[in-house]
Amino acid sequence: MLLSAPFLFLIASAVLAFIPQRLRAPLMLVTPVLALISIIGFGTGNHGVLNILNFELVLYRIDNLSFPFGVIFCIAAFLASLYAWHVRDLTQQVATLGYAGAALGGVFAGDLVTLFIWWEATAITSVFLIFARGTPAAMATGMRYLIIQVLSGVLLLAGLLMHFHDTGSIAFNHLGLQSTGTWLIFIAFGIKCAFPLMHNWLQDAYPAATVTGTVVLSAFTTKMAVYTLARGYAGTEMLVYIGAVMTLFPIFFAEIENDLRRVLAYSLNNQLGFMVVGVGIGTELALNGTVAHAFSHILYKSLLFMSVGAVLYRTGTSKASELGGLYRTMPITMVCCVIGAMAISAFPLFSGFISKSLILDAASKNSYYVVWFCLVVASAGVLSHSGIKIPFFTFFAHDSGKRPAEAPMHMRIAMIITAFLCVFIGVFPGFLYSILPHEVSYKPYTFSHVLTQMQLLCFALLAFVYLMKVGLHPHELRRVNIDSDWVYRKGIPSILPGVAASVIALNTRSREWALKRLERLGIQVARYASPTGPLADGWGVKAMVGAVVVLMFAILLFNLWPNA
Amino acid sequence: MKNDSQKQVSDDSLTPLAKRFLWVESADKVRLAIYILAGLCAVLFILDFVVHRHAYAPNENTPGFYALTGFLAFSFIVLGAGLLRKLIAKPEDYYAPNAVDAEDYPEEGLNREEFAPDEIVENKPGSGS
Repeated sequence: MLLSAPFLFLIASAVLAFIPQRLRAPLMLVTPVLALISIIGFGTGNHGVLNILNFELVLYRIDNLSFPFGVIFCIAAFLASLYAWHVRDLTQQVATLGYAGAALGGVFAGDLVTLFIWWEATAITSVFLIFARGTPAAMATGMRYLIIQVLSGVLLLAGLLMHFHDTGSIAFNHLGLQSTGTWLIFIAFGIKCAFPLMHNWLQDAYPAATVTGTVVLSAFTTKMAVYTLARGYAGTEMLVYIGAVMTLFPIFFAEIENDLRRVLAYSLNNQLGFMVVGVGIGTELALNGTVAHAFSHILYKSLLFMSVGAVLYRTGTSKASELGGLYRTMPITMVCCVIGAMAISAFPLFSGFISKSLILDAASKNSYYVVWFCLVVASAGVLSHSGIKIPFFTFFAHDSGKRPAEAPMHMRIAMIITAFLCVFIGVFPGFLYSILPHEVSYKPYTFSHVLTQMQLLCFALLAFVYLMKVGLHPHELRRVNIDSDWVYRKGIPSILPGVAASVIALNTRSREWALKRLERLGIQVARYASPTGPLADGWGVKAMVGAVVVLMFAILLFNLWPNA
Repeated sequence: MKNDSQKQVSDDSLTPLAKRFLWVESADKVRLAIYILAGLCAVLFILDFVVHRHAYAPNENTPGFYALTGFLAFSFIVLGAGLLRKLIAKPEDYYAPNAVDAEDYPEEGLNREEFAPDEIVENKPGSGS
C-alpha cells in the first residue's frame, strides 16, 4: 500500500525535510512520475482493502472514473513542481507534495471514512501555500480559507455518520439526495466545488497564495470535489441548474476584477460550472464531458496561472491596471498565455474545444435548452475574461513602461510543456477520449461544430473590438469588488459591536428594572406586614365564616369533578 | 532610474519572437487585423446560409444564431459588468489589513529582473534585419 500514489506523495513530502537542498526539487519532479507508474501498475480494482472494527476501508480504488483524475493530478503535480523549481522554501515544497497526495487519496478513496480523512488533509496541507506568502494579510486570508475548508470536512463527517446510521454502509458509491445524511455530504462537496454563495473562499484565497502556490492550488481541491460529485450525485437534476448559475455569474465579476489571479479564480469557478452541469445531466456523454473538461481545464488553467505568475514574479504585480505591453520582453510567456487563453475559450484545435462540446451536446440532446443556451452565453463570457482580458491587458493594451526579463528557464519549460499538451489534446482528442469513463463515439471535428464555434468566438471578438473602439469596455481600475463574502468579512463584523453593546445594555437595564421592582415589593411587604399594617389586624367573625364557606365550596367542587 | 533603463530598451534589441508582434504598435496594421477579423466574420456568417448544420436546440438552425449570440452575449456581459462595478466597487484597501489586495507582493518571493538586451543580441547574430 505504501507504493500507492497517495502514499508515495506523502512519503516523499516527509523525506523532503531530511535531504539536502539540491535534491529536493528533483525529488518533487520524480514523485509524480512514480505515482503515475503506480496508478498504471496497480491497474483497475480495489486495492488496499482494510477491515478495521467491521468497517471495510478501501484505500486505493482505481476504476474508469478515478483513473483519469489520478492521471491528470500526477501531470499537474509534475508541471507545478517544474514551475516551482526555484523555490527553496521547505514549507511550500512539503505542502505541495502533501497536498497533491491528499487530493489523489481523495480521488482513490473507496469509502467515505477514507475520503473524509483525505478531504481534511487537502485543507490543512494546502493552506500552507497561502501562509507561505508570509504577510499578516496572507495569514488572515489563510485562516478564512481554512475555516471554510474544515467546515466542509465537518459537514462531510456529520453526513457520513448519518448515512452510516441509515444504511449501515460507508461505501462511497452513488448516494443521491435521499436523506439528511446525503444532503449534508452534498453540501460538503458543494463547498469545495465552489457552488454559488459557497464560492468565495476560492476567489479570496487563490490570489493570496505564493506565485507557485496558486498554480498548485488551482489544480486539486475543486477537481477532487467534481470527482466526488460525479461519483456520488451523477444525474441529480439540481446540479444542472446549480452548474448553469456557476457558469454565468462569475463572468461578470471576472470582467471587472483588477487582480488577474483573481480573474482566473472567477474563471475557474465558471469552468467548474460546465463540469457540474455535466454531472447533473449524468448520461454517459455528459459524464465523459465532465471528466474530459476537468482534464483539459487543469492544464489550461495551470498554464494561465503560470503565465500570470511569471509576470508577477518578474514585475511584482498581477494587477491589470499596472501591466501592459509586456509582449516585448516576455514573448514566450505571452505566447504560452495566448495558447492557454485559446484553449479555455475553446477555439478549435485546442483542448477546451474537444471537452466542453461534450457537455454542451449532452445538454441539448437531453432537452435542457435553457441551460444549453446559458452555456453558450457563458462560452462567449469565457472568451471575454480569460480569452481576451488576461493576455490583452497583460501583454498588449497600453504600454506600462515595464520591461521585465523573460520568465526563468524552468518556468518557460513548464509553460511550454503545458501549452504543448493543450494543443496536443485539442488536435488528437483520441488520447484523452480513450481514458474517459465510458466509450466515446463523439466526433468533435464536424464541419457544423467547427463552424458554429468559430462564429460564436469571432463575433464575440468583433464585439470586443467594437466596444474598445467606442470606449464602452470597462477600464482597469485599482479597485476591489465586493462579493457575497462581504457578509462574513464586513457585514457581520461591522454589526457585532452594535449587537454586543445592545446585549450589554439590555442586561444592565433589565437588572435595574428587576431591582426597582424588588425594592418596591419590599416596601409593600413592610407596609402590610408591619405591626400596624393591615395583615396584623384580627379577622372579624363574618370574614372567618365567609372564608370557611368558600373553602368548603371549593372542596365540594373538587370532589364533584369526574375522575379527580 | 529604473524607468530610464526601461525606456532604453529599443525595438531592435528585442528577441526575434517579440519582433514578430511589433505590428500591434502600428495603427494601420491593427486596422488591417480588424478588417481581416471582420472579413472572417462575414465569411462565417454567409456560410450559415450555404451549409446545413445539424441542430438539436430550437432556433439553433436559424442562420446567424451563433453569430448573433456571440456578439450580443459578449456585449451584454461587458456592459452588464460595467453596471455591476458601479454597485460593488470599493477602494483597494477596503478589506485591509486582512486581505492582500492593497499590499505589495513580498520581495523575497520575487525575482525582479530587467530585460537585458545585450545577452539576447549575442544570441541572435544576423537576425537583426
